[in-house]
Amino acid sequence: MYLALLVALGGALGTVLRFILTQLAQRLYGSSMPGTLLVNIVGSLGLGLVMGLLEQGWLASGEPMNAEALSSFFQLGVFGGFTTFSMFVFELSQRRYKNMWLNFSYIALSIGLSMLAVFVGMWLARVLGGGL
Amino acid sequence: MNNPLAFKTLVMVALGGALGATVRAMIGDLFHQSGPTGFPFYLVIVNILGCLYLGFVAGLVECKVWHPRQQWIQGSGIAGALTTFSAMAAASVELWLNQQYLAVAGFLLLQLILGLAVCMFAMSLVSNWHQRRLRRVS
Repeated sequence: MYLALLVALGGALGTVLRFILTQLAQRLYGSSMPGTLLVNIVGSLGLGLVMGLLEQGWLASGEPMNAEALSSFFQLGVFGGFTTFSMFVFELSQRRYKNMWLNFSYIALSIGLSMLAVFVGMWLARVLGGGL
Repeated sequence: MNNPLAFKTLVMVALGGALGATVRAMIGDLFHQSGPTGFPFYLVIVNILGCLYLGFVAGLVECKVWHPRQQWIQGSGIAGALTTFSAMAAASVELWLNQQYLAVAGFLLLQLILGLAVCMFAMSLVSNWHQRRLRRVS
């Protein structure tokens, strides 16, 4: 129950942040695509960082900040809610984006850069963990 | 509630996000209890479910059956948080590091193709239903 609350709280936080960013992108560029691309990459970086830090047992000492709670709040909640797959797919399905190259590069950039971001996040965690 | 960045709308979007994230965690829990299979099936399930749901919501908003704020609350909020990109990227990286390159490709392509298919299917289903309804009325 306690963990579910942390997931819900993190999910609410991540979702609102994503919503604001994609709405701003919509206003600035007339499309939510740049916003969704950005949140998915930044969220993957954050997830990689938290995964790396938890792996090293960092932040996990002492009650009540145990690893399970941090993982529920950050991994499932904040970054899970911040990033989105459904909006990504929905943008691809929109008729006004029926430009094959744009769609292809959007898919490649989203997946490629978010996977890279996970790597970078885990590497950052190792650097941070080593320095402390 | 006509401004997406109004405080009231943001609160509703946050509530939707809390709901979506909780359902995603619950589905993940169900799959975790049935044993770790290596292949992250639960991510495929939540992502496809979210795409289907978003397709219905977007379809109803497009037909003007629902107000655009439902797209923000249910679409961006619930469906947006039910699905996740970061966990998908992390799962792909994990498979990649285990040198399961085919599994990475299958995992990603499965979600892309199925996600697009169910999203567009839901939208066209709603659009067909709406047109039939309009014809019956006129």
